Parts: sequence; structure tokens; C-alpha cells
Amino acid sequence: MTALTLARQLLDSTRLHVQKSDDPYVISRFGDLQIRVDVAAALLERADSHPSPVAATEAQIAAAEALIAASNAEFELTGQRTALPSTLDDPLRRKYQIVGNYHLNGVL
Amino acid sequence: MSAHPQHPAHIIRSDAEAIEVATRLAERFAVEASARDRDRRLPVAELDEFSGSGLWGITVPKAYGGAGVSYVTVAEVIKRISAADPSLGQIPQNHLGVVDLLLQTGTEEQKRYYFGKVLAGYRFGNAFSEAKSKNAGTFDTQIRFNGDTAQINGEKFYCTGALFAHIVPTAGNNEQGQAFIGFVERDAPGLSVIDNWDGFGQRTTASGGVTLDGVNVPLSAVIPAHLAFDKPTADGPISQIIQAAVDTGIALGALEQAKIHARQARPWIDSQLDHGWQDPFTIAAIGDLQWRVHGTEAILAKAGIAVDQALAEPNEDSVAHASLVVAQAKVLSAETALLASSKLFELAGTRSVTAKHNLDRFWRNARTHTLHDPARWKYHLIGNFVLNGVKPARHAWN
Repeated sequence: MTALTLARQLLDSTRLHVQKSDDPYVISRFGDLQIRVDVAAALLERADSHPSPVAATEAQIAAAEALIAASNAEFELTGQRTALPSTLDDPLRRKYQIVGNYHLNGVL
Repeated sequence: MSAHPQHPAHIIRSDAEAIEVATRLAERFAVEASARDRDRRLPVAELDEFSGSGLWGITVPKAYGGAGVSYVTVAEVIKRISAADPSLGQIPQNHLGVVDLLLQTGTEEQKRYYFGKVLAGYRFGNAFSEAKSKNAGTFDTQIRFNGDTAQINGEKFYCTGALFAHIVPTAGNNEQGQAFIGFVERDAPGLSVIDNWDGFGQRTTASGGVTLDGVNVPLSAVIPAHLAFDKPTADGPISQIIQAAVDTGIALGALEQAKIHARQARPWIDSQLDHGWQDPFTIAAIGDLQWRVHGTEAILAKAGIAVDQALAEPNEDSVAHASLVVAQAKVLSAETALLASSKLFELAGTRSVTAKHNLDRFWRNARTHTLHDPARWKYHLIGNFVLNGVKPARHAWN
């Protein structure tokens, strides 16, 4: 399962758990998650046709950040946390370096 | 400022031509953008070139002789101009909003007349907002109808573009509290445009005051603007996508400068490196900014598509969808512009704050322009739909 798919699932299950709320802080939390999921999806779509060699890496960062935010919101709003897949073999921290080195220095 | 343009404008025929013209103009506007900001030199000649290029007429529908371009294109045009000079990018915002208000609420005769003016190069300013009314959506300014004329009295502020306009669309409420807009000629008796905008950002937008002291307009120059929100129309999202495009442009401009100046920075002593551009933390920080800017641009384009759909088939759902996607573009563009314009200094080091570079204009412009409406309520707007199924309220800020 991709990070984006899992982020979407967590957003959805957290929403079903909360059901409805008039708390402005809870409401805006869902706004934040929705934006993160949608920007990751938009970057993934962009990577499909964009010639930049790091476009896919940019989409992966967005998806990974969306997943972390969704997981934190899940824990905060439901008291439970779904286990996330390990990223030890493909760490997020390297991806910023890959994107940055290409866009700052033209180095792949 | 005269009530008429000096020369007729070029008429742009296609989306591709609009992008091409904007790209060319942006390059020219970038050259003296810093000097205009530093000296608060109002962009009078630049605006003549901008509106004369035909870019202020690209949203006039094909049926009325315009190009009727996609709002993906409109956002791209404003983004490119704003990357060069966001004051110039912001000035047509209300003009473009008014073109759509005419489309939504004008009579056939009014559309033909004013769209013709727009294509000829006439610039609309605005006298909408008021600094002293209860909130952004309320007007103390009155419009009173008497026979075949209407009279407007009141005091306005944040009137971006009014100083440079040929016609100043002015909003006032009738006795029932419904908003109408009168198209006031720039040299009309009783209209005073005051050059008193002294904000620390967007310094050359001339977003100052307008007073209306017994200004009379014929009924043919009044539109029932409230109808654009009484029923579902794309007008709110149109107004907002242009704001988001300005901030996306600021983010792009700031990131561009961040890269240039970060590459010139000295290496930090503890890095043991020879050049600043080898700094692993600088590289990662640029990576972070870059995906955010690309993400913002991608959502801005999606917002343009949503606006096009709401224009083509206006209903509760299409307009709500456009408001929601445009709100995402607003949040992302505001945050990315502020982040990029602040990180710029962190990555470029102390030498980047010297006055000769005037790089603080990016942050000053981002901070000022993103105050137009608060991003915090856009999180709420989106969340309220996601969680509670509540559609966004319809007004010029959604």
C-alpha cells in the first residue's frame, strides 16, 4: 500500500470515528489533513507527465508528510494508532536532499 | 488619471497567447521591481503596458469578443506577473472580479458596453472594502435610487487599483442591505481617490482610500452585485483564485532568490566544506521548499479547473467544489510564500539582509498580501465540508 493510500484511509477512518463536531480545532484539523492528502495526489499526478527527474520524489515527500500528519491526527482524535509500514530502507530524510541537490545544484 | 486609456489595447486571442504575453511582460517588470518597491514608485507606465497588452481583457467571453480563457490560464498569468512584481499582480484582481460580476449580474446591454470598454483597455479599480464597517463583508456606504439615477455616499479603504483606474466600480448597500455596484468614471464629481496606502508590503498597489460624496451614476451604470452570491456563481472562487495566484507568484520569486543567494553563501565553519551550496542542511531545506512550491502550483491549477467547471455549470455543488479547491490553493500559497521568503535569509546568510538586495520585499509582500483573508479559516472551511458536510458560505472571500 502506498503512503498516500494509507494516509487517505487514516483520514477516512478518523473521520468516521469522530462523525461530527462543532469544535473549531477539530474541524480545522480535518481541513489540514485533506489539504495534505490532496497536494500529495496532485504532485503524484504531476510526476506522471513532468520531465523533472525528481518530480516523483517530491510527490513521495508530500505523501509521507501527509501520512505522518494523518497518523498523528488519528492518535489525537481516536486514541488509537494504526501501525505504519517501516521506511528504514527508503528514509524520508534522503528525499529532501535528492530534491534539493537537483534544484539547487543541478546534481542528480 | 484620465477616465480613458491613451491607446486602444491589443486583443489577446488564446490561452497560449496570454501565457506568452505574461511571460514577456514579467521579464520586463522584474527589472525594476525592487527599485519601485524601495522608492514606492507607483507603476503608472508599467500598468499602461500591462493593460495595453490585452491581459486585462482575457476573461471577457468569446461571445463578447474576448478570448474567454480558462482560469488555469488566468492563475498562471497572475502567478508569473506576481513572481516578478506582486504589486502589479494584485492590481488587476478586482478588475477581473468585476468582469465576472458583470457577466453574472449585468444586463445584456451592460455586458456589451463594459466588456467593450475592457477590450479597449479600460481598467476597473475598486471601492469595495471599508476599514470601519463591522466586518469585511459589510458596507456602511449607501446607494440610493431616485428615478433613473443612483447616488452613492460613503468612505472606502483598501481600494487597490482605484488610483490607476479609468472606471471605479463602487459598492454600496440599498435600504434593504443589498449590495449594488455603480461604475463611477474616474473623473466623476464627488469621487476622490486618496494616495494614502503606506503598508510595509505591496507598497505600490495604491490600496488606499476613496471617498464618495454625492456621486451620481445613471441606472445603466449600476449592477445588482448581491445576486452573484444570492445564487451559486463562480464569483467568490474567481476572486479568491487570483489572490492565491499572487501569493504563489511571491513564493516562486522568493524561492528563485533563495537558490541564487544560497549558492553564494559562505560554507559554515563546522561543515568542513568549501562552498555554501554543498551544505547538506541547505540542500535539504531547498528540497523542502521546492516540493511545497510545486505542490502549491499543482493545486492552483486544479483550482483553475474547478473554477472553469463552476462557471460552465453553476450550481450548489460545482460552486462549493470550486470554493474548496481554491481554499486549498489559498492555504498553500500563503504558507509557502511566507516560508520561502523567510527561509531565503536563513539559507543565504547575513549578507542577504543588506539594503542593496532589498530581499525583504518578498516577505513584506507575502505577509501583507496574505492578510487579505486569514488562512486559518480556510482550514475550517475545508474541514467543515470534510467532517460535517457543510458547504462553504458564498461571498467574495470564499
